[in-house]
Amino acid sequence: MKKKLLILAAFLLSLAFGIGIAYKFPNGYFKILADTGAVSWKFDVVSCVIMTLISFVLLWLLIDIFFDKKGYKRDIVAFKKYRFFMVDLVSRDIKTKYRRSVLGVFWSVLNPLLMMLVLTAIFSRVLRIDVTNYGYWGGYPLFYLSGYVIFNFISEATNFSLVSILQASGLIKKVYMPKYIFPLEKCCYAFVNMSLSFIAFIIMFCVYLFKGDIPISTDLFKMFLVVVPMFFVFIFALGLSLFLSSAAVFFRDVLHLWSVFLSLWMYASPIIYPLDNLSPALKNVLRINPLTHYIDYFRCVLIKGELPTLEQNVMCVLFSLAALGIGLIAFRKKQDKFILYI
Amino acid sequence: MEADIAVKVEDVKMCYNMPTERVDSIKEYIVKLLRGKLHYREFVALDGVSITIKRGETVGIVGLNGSGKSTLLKIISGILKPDRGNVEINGVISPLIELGAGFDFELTTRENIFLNGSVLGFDRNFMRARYDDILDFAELRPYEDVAIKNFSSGMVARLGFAIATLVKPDILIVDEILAVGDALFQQKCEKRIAELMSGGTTVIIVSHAIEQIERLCTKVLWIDKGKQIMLGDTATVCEKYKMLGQKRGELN
Ligand SMILES: Nc1ncnc2c1ncn2[C@@H]1O[C@H](COP(=O)(O)OP(=O)(O)OP(=O)(O)O)[C@@H](O)[C@H]1O
Ligand SMILES: [Mg+2]
Repeated sequence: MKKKLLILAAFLLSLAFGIGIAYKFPNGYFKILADTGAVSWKFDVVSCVIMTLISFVLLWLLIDIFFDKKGYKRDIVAFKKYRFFMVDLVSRDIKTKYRRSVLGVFWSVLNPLLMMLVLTAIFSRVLRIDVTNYGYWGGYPLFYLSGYVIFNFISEATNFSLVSILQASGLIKKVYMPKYIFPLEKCCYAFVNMSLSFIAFIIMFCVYLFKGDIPISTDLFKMFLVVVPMFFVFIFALGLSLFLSSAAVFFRDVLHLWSVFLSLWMYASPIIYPLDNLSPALKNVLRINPLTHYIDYFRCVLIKGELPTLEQNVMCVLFSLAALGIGLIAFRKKQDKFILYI
Repeated sequence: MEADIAVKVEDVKMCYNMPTERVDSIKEYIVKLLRGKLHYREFVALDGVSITIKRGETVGIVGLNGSGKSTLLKIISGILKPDRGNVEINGVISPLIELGAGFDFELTTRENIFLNGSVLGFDRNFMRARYDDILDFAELRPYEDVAIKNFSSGMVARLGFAIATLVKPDILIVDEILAVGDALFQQKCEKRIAELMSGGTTVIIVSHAIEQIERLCTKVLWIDKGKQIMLGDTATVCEKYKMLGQKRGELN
């Protein structure tokens, strides 16, 4: 009862915060990518809604932790005990993926490269979009690969996690084990895969470096900042995965809905096309999509050699924490019931 | 909780929802929600069971099929969370609800020993130190590098038992698994359990072999249809339980 009242209070507080943000930063919630061209009250409303939701989730998570300190502590302690198990699971996943074909690693590098070739042909030859105009080094190939790596990670992590609890039902029914291990493990596995497909990016990067399309200067050191967006995306994907894996236990059709959603999501994110090419209004719409911010951050450090702005950092952190919050709250609320449905 | 108590179960109740009425798609859920039919008929598998087990005690649980014994063990080992009531545990549990839980049948004996160790939360060094003992106890040394899908069910049972008992748990839970091995191995298992008991391990056994319970246990809990019928020393409870069995037998 007390908890519910607190959550209500948290909602009102977040609403006030959301309105405040919309008032302080008119025309769109985050100033990154902001364009002066499209001024509309609609963006203020969207801005208010999104900021309210994010801060509400974060406050809710704090309240949840406050009321269940013991449970959260137990989960963290359990991680220490079961980390070996998680490492075992990840290595088993990797082995089964690459044992089947000796060319396994080769394929995870070649696949994005082939896609890159096709899309490069379409975009730079047919549609004549030249991304170097917007300051991206290495033209369309590097532009595509950097977006692909991020999206593919999110899509793999969520797709694997979605069935992770259902797949582990044999174990969950017979042995005690903290259940978040399973989606977490799938995210780690997808992260390893992402690192492998990153090889494709590095190969192309070297090609352009030798061609002289990439300015060799101190700027290149900024590339190492790439671990920051990777970390943000990992947390974001983990939050989504926790939520989805618990939803899939109760509603099996989430599996189908999610794959449809993913393909829509891909086209609603600036992966194969540059954001800079769109109309200001469309740009603002795309900014509602968290993935836009991650991809932008990623490309900013990787193929523009720019330092990310404060707003970029803030937005990525907020989206990651909000996703993690939703995931944790949903997962922990339902995890004791999983066993009755699997 | 006092230091000499290993397991404390207080007035637990466990409900399963009927599998026939499970709703597992969003559409079904919404339809049922709109019609206001979204309350499950629940099946009460356990109600009002309490037991306190001291460190080093060996407790047997008896009851007919479907009386809720396995459910109770699952609650004690944390696999199931009860709808009502409290469970407190003092120490490391090695749950053997079912032999071979956590085994990967494609992997070899060696790999499975380490895998099962990590399933139970033990690291590689810990398992390495006990590796030889486990192999010797299970008498599976010649099969070290054989995938366990090629094992007989008794061999899998032996391996599972060896791992679960050689990690020296504080609390060992054994659910009807002693029956799988041959007579020789059963003797060995009982000896091993007795060793663990004298070493201070708390053991909880479920078995339909009443003589086994009589031989090993200091205390017996009898449950029937989820209700606690009797809890007391082995001789009294077993006698009553056997008497009931006879009566039912005569009726049939
Ligand atoms: N996952 C489940 N979903 C629904 N009902 C279940 C589930 N697991 C067990 N039950 C029901 O709960 C009751 C108790 O089951 P349990 O496995 O605890 O019995 P038991 O005492 O171990 O029986 P046995 O001697 O046959 O092993 C049974 O009637 C069973 O139908
Ligand atoms: Mg049983």
